[in-house]
Amino acid sequence: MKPIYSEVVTPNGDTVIIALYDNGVMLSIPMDEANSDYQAYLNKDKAEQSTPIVTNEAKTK
Amino acid sequence: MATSPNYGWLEPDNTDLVKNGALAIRTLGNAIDTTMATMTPKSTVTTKGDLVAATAASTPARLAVGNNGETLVADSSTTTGLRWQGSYTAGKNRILNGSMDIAQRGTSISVGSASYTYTLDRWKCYSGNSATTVSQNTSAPTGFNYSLKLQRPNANTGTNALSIVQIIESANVVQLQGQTATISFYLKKGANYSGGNISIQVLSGTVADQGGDPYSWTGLTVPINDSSYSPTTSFVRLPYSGTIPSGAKELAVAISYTPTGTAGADDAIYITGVQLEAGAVTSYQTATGTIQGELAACQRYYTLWASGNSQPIGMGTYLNTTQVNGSISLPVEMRTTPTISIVTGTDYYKASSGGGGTDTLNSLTLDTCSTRAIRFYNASEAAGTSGQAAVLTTNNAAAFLAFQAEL
Repeated sequence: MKPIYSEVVTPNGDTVIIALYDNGVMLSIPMDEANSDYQAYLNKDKAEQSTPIVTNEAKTK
Repeated sequence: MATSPNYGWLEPDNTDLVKNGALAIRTLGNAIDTTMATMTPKSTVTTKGDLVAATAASTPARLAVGNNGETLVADSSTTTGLRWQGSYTAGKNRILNGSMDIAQRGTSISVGSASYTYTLDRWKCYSGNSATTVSQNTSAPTGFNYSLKLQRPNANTGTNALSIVQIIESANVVQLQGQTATISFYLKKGANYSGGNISIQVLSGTVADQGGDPYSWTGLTVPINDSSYSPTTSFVRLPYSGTIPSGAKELAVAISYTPTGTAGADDAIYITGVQLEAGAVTSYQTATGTIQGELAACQRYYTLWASGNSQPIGMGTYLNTTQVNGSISLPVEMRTTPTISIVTGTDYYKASSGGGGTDTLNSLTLDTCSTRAIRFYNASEAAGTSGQAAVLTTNNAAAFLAFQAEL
């Protein structure tokens, strides 16, 4: 489930990323490179997951 | 006659003439034999590291060597009065919530298709199937309260692998660089398990705290990679060792199985006691030693603040007639500036101010934050008196507020 992203400027003057999901969950994401939600926002147009390395039984993740 | 210096055996004097020599030799031999019978034979110890301990006065016995990393403690209830005991070494275990005690997000989490979803604290799940369930389960080996149950739901026909993954923060990885490390855990299968062998992998990356999907990490290697174990319906402790690359900046542990056919009611694996440590396997211990410590360690990555109706959030202030702000000091410093995660809905939150006025709000949004504190606001539904204080609470059973700084 991918969210709808938007950027808002807060009353404090910070820019925050808002991620809104269909189920009503809303994320307020600070623009911090170390924040994984911000990384997901930056990479939102990339394929969601790569193909993992797996062993005999776990052929796909 | 003379006597020997230590045991007093009778011996001829240096100047004695040879007389009754055979008797003298026999007397000496018997004395030696009597003494030796009181001594502990070397066959008492049979294994490297064995010790000799007394079970009573003048009664020595073998005390078998303990396990790696254990220390010897006195214990009057044992035969020898001694006992080997696993010693607590702070930080030995690099896995947080390895005993699956902490479940801030809930005790049963539904995981959708092809997207990592956090479940029990620090553990995230991935599967290409349409649905997967991860839950905290009370089936656990002695010494544990819970296991993590990784399950393909009943009647599900997906045959992609189900994986449970924990990413370890770089600051807790670098000490293992270039060393042999061992991942160990207890595992059993459910009654309707449909998979084959379990897959266990330790993944390594060369860039600090990339997070996300570990299979996409820069410099990815797999220093521990095994799929030789066929699970049973009883918990078995499984250790696997490998050498962590000298350039490792990030590690992840992934445990997976691949189901077949259509799922029965208990198509699952149960996992607990997960430990990643330097060197050979030793007895399990949590990373911090206490439930309090484990919770605080997990809160560095995720902090549940309020869930359900009428839960307190904190104090706020109307900065003007259409904006109410609140601030929270986080219980522990988080890994990075956190995301606010809430569930939005009509009147899900409220601000109660002086004179009994109540202002209902649909959401709360991040205003600014550090790793230690968060300031949030509502400027959409807020309608109050500028300068007035307000008590902020949830106002709906589905309301929810958490902070996350996961990898």
